[in-house]
Amino acid sequence: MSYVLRRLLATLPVMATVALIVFSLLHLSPGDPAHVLAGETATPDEVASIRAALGLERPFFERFADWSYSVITGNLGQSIFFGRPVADLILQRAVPSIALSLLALLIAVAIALPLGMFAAWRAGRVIDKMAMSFAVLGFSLPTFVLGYLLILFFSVHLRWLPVQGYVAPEDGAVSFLRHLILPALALGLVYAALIARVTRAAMLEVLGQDYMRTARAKGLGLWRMVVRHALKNAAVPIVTVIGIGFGMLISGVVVTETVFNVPGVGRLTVDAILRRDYPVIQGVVLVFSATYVLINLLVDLSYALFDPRVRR
Amino acid sequence: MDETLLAVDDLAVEFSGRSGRTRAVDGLSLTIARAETLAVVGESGCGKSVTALSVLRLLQEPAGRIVGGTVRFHGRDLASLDESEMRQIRGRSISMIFQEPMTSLNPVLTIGEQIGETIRIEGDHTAEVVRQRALAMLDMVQIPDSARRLKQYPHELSGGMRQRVMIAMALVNRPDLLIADEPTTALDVTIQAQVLDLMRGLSGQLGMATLLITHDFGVVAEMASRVIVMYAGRKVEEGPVRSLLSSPRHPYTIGLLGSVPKWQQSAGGERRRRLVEIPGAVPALRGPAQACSFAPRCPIASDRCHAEVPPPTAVAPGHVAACWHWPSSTNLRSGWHP
Repeated sequence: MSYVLRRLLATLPVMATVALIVFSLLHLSPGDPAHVLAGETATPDEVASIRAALGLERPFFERFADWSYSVITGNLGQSIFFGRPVADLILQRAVPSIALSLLALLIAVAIALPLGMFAAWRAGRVIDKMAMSFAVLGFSLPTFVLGYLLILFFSVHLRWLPVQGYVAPEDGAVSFLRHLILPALALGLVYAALIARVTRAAMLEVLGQDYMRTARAKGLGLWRMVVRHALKNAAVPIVTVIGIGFGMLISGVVVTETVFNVPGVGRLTVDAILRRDYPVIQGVVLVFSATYVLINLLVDLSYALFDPRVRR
Repeated sequence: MDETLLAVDDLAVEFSGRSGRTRAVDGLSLTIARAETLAVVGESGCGKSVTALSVLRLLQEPAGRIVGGTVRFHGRDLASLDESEMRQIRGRSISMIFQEPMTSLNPVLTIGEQIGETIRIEGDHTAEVVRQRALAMLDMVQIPDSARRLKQYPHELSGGMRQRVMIAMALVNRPDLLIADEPTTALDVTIQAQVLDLMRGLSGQLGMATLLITHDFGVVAEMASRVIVMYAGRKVEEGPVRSLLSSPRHPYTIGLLGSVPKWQQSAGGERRRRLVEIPGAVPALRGPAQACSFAPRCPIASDRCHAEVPPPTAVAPGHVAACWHWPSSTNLRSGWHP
């Protein structure tokens, strides 16, 4: 299938560019990278040994090629702070972040699709305007504000859910979910607002098409008309915005994990930035970018699933 | 024998938009007997498509809505049914095919699914029964290689094929009435003839009545037994095809027929007759008509035409025209411009 192959190949230059930028992050930043890595209190000897370890006397692109090779083989370097491989650190923290993003995505889609479809179905009426005002509100509210509001209401006021923290799934599935609900909600609502607006616009366009009139003339039920006939046609813009919005989700993960004290990759990122742990920063940025590219590859491939005209 | 299937009485449809309300259909009455084909003819904007959509209650509500009159089908007033009751009628007792075969089929669903779901609205069937009936239907509308077509998508079919699929979909539940809104307008002339032949054959075979909306008198002559001519939302003339086409009485009908190019024998051999156009355009009505709405474009309009709505008047058996001057309108036939 040439469409799949074309899409796959198109991700290669993107990933190469991302790698170059991530690599340059350290090596093109002002000053000597060895100084940056060693920190302000380092002795000249320490700086010299780091410089030797990095091979800084070699040309930039040679170092980039070496680095790229080691990244491909799964070696993201050593954390300066922890003194452990970056890949291990990220893997160790991946579960909370993946669980949080998936739950947030699930919440977002579960809210946004029905809301957007319903708003389109009742376009121009009060219920549509209310739904879309809610969407604007959700989109304008920063994640951390929403997060603290949710904590205040559900944890402090109602005392239904824990304030913050994280419990690993192997230590109790219920506890794991109870800790994840609020951060996922804070993260998902912003995302939901974006998806809902696009869903409404896409559905509105589709509902005015001739084939929807045909579907009505055939005497189809509402459910089949809206879900099978309309939603499948509106799917392409909707999954597109889910893919594009995933970038928002990633940056949201960083903020949310900090607010709710979840030990995930987002927290790792913030800590690494505060500690100037450059190899870790490079590693997480690379992993985040690769995830984003992968998600959008899946989105591109899903077009063929929804629209037979793309398959050529 | 002449049992009435559909009786539209004094139908009025209005659209509301930014520029206020517009009356698209104004006091229209028509009847269709079982297995009869009635054609409704007129220019774009005369309300013929709106009439067709109103019967199946497919107007874009609340912008467009029926504001008066009844639509009796098997004696039951469709205008008073709610949406779920209408759903029982659509696709089962009354089906509709549309002008645009390119856009009237859903581009992301297979032909098989689109025909199949129409079969399923009428009852629960196994997948195999649905498939067999869909195949039989494609054979009936003379689509070759039907098994392969079921798996295809609309963009893989030609315009003529798509319109055949639309017809298959419309007829699959053996409706009593088919509403065809400009079914061949978007097709090539040769394909048009094939599709019209097919429709005529099937309606005879299935004993189905047809409400045919068209602007093409060629299609009317070929398909219909009776014709209604509409202008600005009103019926201006109605009669048996032969009588109406050979001796039209309303100046508008005469003008419309004059707009069809014809070859005519003359002393000097064959020559083309002048194509006559009707000056002006169909006016938009704000409310019920207060005068003959054709008067501003009519060459024989008098003061009375601008002051009073002409009532339908019998001009021949089964043939009525709504014109104050119908006895003298025949003079127009030699040349529409006075």
